[in-house]
Amino acid sequence: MNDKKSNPFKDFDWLEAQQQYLNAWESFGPGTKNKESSSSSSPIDVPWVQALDFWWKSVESATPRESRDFFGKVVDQTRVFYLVSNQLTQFMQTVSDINKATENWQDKLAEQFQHMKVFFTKQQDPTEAFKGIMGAWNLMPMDTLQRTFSSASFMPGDFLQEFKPEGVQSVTDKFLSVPGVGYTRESQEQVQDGIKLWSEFQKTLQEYNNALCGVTVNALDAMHKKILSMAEQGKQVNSLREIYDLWVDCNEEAFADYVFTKEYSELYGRLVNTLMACKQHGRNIVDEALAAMNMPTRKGLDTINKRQQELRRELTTTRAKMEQGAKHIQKMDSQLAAMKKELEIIKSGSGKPADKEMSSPVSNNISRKKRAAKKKGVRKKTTVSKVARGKTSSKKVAKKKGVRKKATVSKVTRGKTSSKKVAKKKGARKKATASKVARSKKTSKKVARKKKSGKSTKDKMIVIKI
Amino acid sequence: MFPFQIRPDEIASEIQTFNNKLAQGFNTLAEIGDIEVGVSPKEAIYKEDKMVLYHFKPRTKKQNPVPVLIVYALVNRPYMADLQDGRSMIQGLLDGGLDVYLVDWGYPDGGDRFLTLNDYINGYIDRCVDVIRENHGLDKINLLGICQGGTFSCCYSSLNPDKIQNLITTVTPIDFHTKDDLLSHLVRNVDIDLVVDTVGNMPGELLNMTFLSLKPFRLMGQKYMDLVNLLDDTDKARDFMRMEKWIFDSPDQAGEAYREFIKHFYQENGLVKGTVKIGDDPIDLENITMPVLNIYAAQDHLVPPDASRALEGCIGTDDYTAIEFPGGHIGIYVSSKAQKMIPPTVSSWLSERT
Repeated sequence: MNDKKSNPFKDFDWLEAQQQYLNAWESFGPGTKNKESSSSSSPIDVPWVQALDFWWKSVESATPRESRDFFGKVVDQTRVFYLVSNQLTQFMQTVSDINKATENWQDKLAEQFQHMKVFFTKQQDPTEAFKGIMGAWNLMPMDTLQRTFSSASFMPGDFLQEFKPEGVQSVTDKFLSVPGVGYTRESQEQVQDGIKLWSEFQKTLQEYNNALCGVTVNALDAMHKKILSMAEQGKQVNSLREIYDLWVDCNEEAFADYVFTKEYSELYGRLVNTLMACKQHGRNIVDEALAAMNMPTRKGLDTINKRQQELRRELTTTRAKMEQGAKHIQKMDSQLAAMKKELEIIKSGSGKPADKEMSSPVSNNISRKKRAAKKKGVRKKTTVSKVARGKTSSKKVAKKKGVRKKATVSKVTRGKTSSKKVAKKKGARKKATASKVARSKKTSKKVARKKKSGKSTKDKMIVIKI
Repeated sequence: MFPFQIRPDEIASEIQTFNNKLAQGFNTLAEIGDIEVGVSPKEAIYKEDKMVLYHFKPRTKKQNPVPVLIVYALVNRPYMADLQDGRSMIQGLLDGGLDVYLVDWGYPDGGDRFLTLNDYINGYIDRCVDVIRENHGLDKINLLGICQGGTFSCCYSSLNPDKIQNLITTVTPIDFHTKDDLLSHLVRNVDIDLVVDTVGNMPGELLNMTFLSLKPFRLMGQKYMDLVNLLDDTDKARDFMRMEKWIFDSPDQAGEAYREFIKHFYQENGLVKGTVKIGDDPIDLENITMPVLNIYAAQDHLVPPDASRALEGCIGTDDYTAIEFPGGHIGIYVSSKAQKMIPPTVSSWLSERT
């Protein structure tokens, strides 16, 4: 059966439940009210809550598991709504006769609020008061802290839940002062330390709960004042929901006033710290027991996890460096390829095809120079003169060149037309020199421009270095 | 005159009506079925440990050429920014022509106990940024941080100004010692070393309840009363449940990162004092020289406006814009007002700077 599809509320006889609580409600009718219960009612005395609980118990087990918690929250809050409403409703009945006279209701109101304060705070264990009347407080961090940390520890805090230091304090103090002796001395001391820590936490928890009780009392005072102020201003409350909202506002305000105090910050800090100290002690005891049984411990796992994380960090850094290195090599490869290409262009520009065997621009350059030195043909010399710029003066080269040589040079310079024109005007020798100089100037300008622009300058820079 | 003028029969009637709604409401809730969250189509483009980098499918023909990476907080889940159709900041950003990426931190467990802020910021975030930069062939991308993710984004941007073109922070704490910062006030006297050494990872449930306990009566009580009045409307009930799902979907916090964040940011207020270090790198917010858009919420009870506003005085940019949203910490992402205001503002602000 699919839980999600089931709907426990569909076929439930809600009217029957309604009838039950309405019957109960009748007990509030004039003349039937038990005044003794008005100020001391517990949740189970309130018929609306009884009806709600009856209904919820009937349907809870059939509720889809995944939404049961959520429904529970709504029911809890509805319970709170009824309880708060009940308190004030009973009060209204009390003052209903006086209301007609419109005189003494303020005294009665003060009296009722006093009763409510007692109701909210009278329990010996204030947490019990919260559990009943204030659904919200049940979800306060303190409770959650305990539950959460209990589930996170091998030794849940709840195992000492019933250990109340206030009840056994005098005995405990004596017990804890007895030194551990004998074979089990160490474990005795551990237990004593644990109880001391737990006792410390319980005392702080008591303090914390008392502080929250103070907030509740302040909230009721604020609510009392607001009601009086409303009366002065002629404002009316016409529904239970308005009363509930007023109660929420007053509690939020009182709570906000308190939590921003230094006192609360310190108390909260102490509460968490004492609980943690207790838990840590418990954890250490469990670890020791596990270690004695040759079982993995939390401490050991922490060490492993820490080292593993450090290794992973190193691995990530190393991997990043490797990737960076690989990218660098790739870049260098592409630069080499570009350099080869460039050389080929230079070579082909000289009229000689590129040597396929050449593997690097360096060897390429050397072998070319060697070949150039060996071969003394006019055209080859021209190539050498171009590569080893400045070594041979352009004038000497020009002298050795015939007309055909000059033409070749002018082709290489790519400024074909202009070179020819220059040659025509100034003679062949001058023309060859001028065109070479012009090309040299153009090249250096290009390099300068690329240096400025950045990217390809880098390539050029590497070429120059090589 | 006594202000409570309710007759017993009126009280009985109100209770009966309420109970009817409650019963009917439970009927509605039980039939709602699965709640979908995170509605916009997306693709996981990079994974590392439990972290996943998502790329959202564009909703416009033309996009801003510089993508946006959203860095979410470690607390709760990032689908809050993409909760449902029509209530999604991410959808709004996509409609504004932005190319959106999102970091999802996942659910850390015991194996992640020793992850530090350095691992998160100089590790995961940096690698996500590099992946996006490489995918787009860009030197710089835009960064958008949500809450604690905004704090991380500021740290990252100050360490890597050469990788971030524009920085957007939303409800981001910078000054952790403003007077109205209740969270900071709560943890001020907690021995955080003792806590982390004891529990390891910080339980998400506890953290979440701490947030709720800041307004316990409203957030853990009154809202369920309000719900009862919404339950006759299935869509509204579903919306409520969707938020409820998000609120209680709280991953645990990696212990070491949590320790560092609470100690150095919350307790020492190191970000504004300049004492925070991520790994070995000191964080100097003055290094944030790129344009900055800082969005905060006027009624934010988790990150008070002053805590976010402090960013202006700490950074080195000449191009700073601040926007105050009239709402709360969550409303800034999911309210209908926010849908009309936040994503269009972010989109146009970015397009002006691209």
